[in-house]
Amino acid sequence: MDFFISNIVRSIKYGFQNFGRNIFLSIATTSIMVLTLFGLGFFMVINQISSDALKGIQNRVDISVYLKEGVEEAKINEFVDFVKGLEGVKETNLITKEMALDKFKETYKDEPAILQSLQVLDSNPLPITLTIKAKNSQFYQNINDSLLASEYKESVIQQTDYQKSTSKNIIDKLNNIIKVTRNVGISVIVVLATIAVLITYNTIRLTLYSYRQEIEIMRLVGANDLQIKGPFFVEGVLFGVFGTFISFLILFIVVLLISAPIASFIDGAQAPNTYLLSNAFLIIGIQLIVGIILGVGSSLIAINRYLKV
Amino acid sequence: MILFKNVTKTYGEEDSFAIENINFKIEDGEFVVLVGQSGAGKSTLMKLITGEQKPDKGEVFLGKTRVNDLRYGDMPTHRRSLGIIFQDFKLLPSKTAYENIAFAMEILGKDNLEISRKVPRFLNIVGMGAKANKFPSQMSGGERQRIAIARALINEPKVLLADECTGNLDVFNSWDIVNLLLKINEQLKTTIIFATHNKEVVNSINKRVISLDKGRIIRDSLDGKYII
Repeated sequence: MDFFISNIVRSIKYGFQNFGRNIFLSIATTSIMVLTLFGLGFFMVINQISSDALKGIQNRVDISVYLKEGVEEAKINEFVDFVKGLEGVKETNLITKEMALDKFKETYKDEPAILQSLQVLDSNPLPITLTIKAKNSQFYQNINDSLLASEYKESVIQQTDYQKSTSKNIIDKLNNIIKVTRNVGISVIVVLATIAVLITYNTIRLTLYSYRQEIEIMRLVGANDLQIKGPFFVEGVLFGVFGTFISFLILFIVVLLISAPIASFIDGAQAPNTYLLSNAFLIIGIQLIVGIILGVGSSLIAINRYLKV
Repeated sequence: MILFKNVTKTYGEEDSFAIENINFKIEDGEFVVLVGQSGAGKSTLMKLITGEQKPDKGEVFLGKTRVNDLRYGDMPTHRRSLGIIFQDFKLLPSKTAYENIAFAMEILGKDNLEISRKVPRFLNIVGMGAKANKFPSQMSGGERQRIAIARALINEPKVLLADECTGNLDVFNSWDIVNLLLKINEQLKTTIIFATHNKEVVNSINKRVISLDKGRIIRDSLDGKYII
């Protein structure tokens, strides 16, 4: 047991010692690690911001269904139940004539000419409106088609704003943005993954070159696998730990610089620095896990290649 | 005791013998010189003792251990019973002279107190007490080889294998190292196998000489003459 513990203590000591003494290799390997981990962290931040922004836009999009004058309340309730039962409907909101009028007055309270024109009319001209929000923007077309194909088209519905208003355009654009964002995201992931693989491969080659002779000597002097692998394992952990903290620091500075322009440009998205700070432990944790896997993995693969002496 | 019984080792093609049908016995405490030109089989013979290579035919014994039978997991223990000195020193470049020697003790699990007592003593035996904190890159070839010898001796092995250990040294340093090996053999009674090209050295030290040519022993004599 003492032998095992003293091996572990010595592995930690030599891991730190090797890291310090092979300082140029340590800097090179850590720099590569920083690049990879920075890419990973930056992608996480960007992915969250774009997802927030899309959700924000999605929440503001809806279909308004204007109901005919004089439809009985029971029929309206039946219609609302029908709409709620349609696939993809997230929520509905029935705006009565009175509510619509109050909202109209509130909206145009500073424009007396418009409000006066209302007084000319005997009755409230604003129709009862049912606003429909979908679970996903892709459902809007189907919801609208279902409404227009239903029995309520003649008896209840005066018109929907999906075809005429900007809703359709916004929804179509939103769908396109989501499609493009998804494709770009997948492409970025593929590119990042390829870069990470290449970087890891080159790190392994660099490590191989440096450790080849040392491993052979240790083996010939009679060191066992644990005694050989231990210090390199510790060194690999150090690459990952240093890489994580340096990359997070750089990520923090970069995000701080781009936060203000992004927050004003993308309405509805969380400011990037707010997201980064509130999720710092999660991001550091993921970077640390990936960094240690890369660091330890590349060191151990390099060592195993030369252990069979 | 080291015993080779009908040992044959080939590399690549079957008829390309590194060594062929080798037989000899080396008693404990002997100093044996292996001579032969490059490719004669000296290094292969050393590697068969360390277990880096396995014979295709025959048997190799180190004491009671049949080296042929050793598995991957047995190698560390086997190699700890040997001291090995190489032509290119094979010191760990990132460790000081002291740490290189201490490393050989650490892998045996020796405690720090014992290491701190023993390493300076062996540094003094090889005349390198003043260079304990120097890295290999800060030492001459002769100095590096002295450190390598101290490392090979620190665990007091019964057998010391010196494979062309003067090959990279000038005449002065070569003599220095050979005299050190003779002293070790005489005082510590360590069995030494010393492979060399140096005819002058072989003819002067008057020890048993095994001559190899194209993988075969062509002469095994106590007359101390370099003849191939």
